[in-house]
Amino acid sequence: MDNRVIVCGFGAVGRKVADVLKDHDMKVLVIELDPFQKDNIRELGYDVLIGDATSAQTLKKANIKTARAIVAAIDNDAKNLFIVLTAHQLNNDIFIATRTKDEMVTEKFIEAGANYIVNSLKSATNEIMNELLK
Amino acid sequence: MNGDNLPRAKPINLQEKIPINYITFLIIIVILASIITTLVLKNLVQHISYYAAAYFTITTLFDVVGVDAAAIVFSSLHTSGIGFETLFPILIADGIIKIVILGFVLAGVVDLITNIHIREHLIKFRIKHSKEIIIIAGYGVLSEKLCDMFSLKKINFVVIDSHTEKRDIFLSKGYNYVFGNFTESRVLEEAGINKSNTIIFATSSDFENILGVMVARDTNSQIKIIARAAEESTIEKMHYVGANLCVVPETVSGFNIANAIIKGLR
Repeated sequence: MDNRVIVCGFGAVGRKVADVLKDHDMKVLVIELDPFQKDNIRELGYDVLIGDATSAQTLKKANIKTARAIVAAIDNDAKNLFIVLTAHQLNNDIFIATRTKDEMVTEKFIEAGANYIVNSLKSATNEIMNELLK
Repeated sequence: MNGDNLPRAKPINLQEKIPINYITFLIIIVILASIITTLVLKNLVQHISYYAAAYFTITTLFDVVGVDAAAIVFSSLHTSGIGFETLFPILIADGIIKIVILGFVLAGVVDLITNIHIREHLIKFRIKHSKEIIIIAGYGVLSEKLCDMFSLKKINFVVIDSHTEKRDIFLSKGYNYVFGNFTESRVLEEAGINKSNTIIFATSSDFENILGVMVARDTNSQIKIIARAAEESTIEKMHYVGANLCVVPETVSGFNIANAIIKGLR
């Protein structure tokens, strides 16, 4: 398996993930639905595939079978869940990280095979609490 | 919105109209009842004077200590052939008067209570006397989580928001709140900015948050200011205008995910 990570969705979360991974010399392939982002993503130094990350076909095109990790970073919990499910089906060993907005669905993500789940608001709250309790 | 062409109904200012008319109405009822009852009594028990009739009416109707109508009726029973039925009008009038007076007093008490605004004064008191209080400016999804966390950890806080529809939420959760625009220093002062050690700006708009940070820093140069932003490019601006910490929730998440992957793949 190569050190490749697939990032689904190039929003604020996806962007940050890609940035940090790149800083650590990992190869990043971004799957993004919006074709107008293609040039922008490429200029930032990432491989890009324009398509729907919830589709198994797109994930196969992204060579998910040989990727080390995949990040479901779309702004929609249902779509992220779908990506997690599909990715797990196609590649049992791949490390799956995802973002979620609703805490109630965290269980579903775990059942679907996600290895790491973040809730933006929870992360923000934790950071603020840490600052307050200093 | 809807019905721009419809004639606008004139808003009735109930607060000012009803009390005065109501009071007058009540007084008139009381006076009329007293007069009618007096006349009836005089009519039925003829040998007493009008003054006596009035005296007995008033003492009965208003429970004044003294001889009441029943006494005069009893004393006249065998002399004038009147019976207990003469008491009837007085009893009815008594009932009416009592209800009227009671209603009047009750209304007055209720009005007094609702005008006291107990909750608002309680909140002001708490803000003034809490040792440490955190101000949360803007009640959105992030604020909701923060408030839940603060409640859990028994940390005192007060929420500022401009939407009065949220009052029900604050009431049901028992939160301290101040309604107003947090970009006004007056509102910040009401929420206790001069004694608080931390203020958090957590609306979903970077513009509002940054303006709030500026006003807050201007009002209290020592307070710790935490602000939420939606984009990384706002962070520098926030620090420039005086924020101590700027949190971009999505960036934090992205960072955490990337770190998890890097660690997981080592």
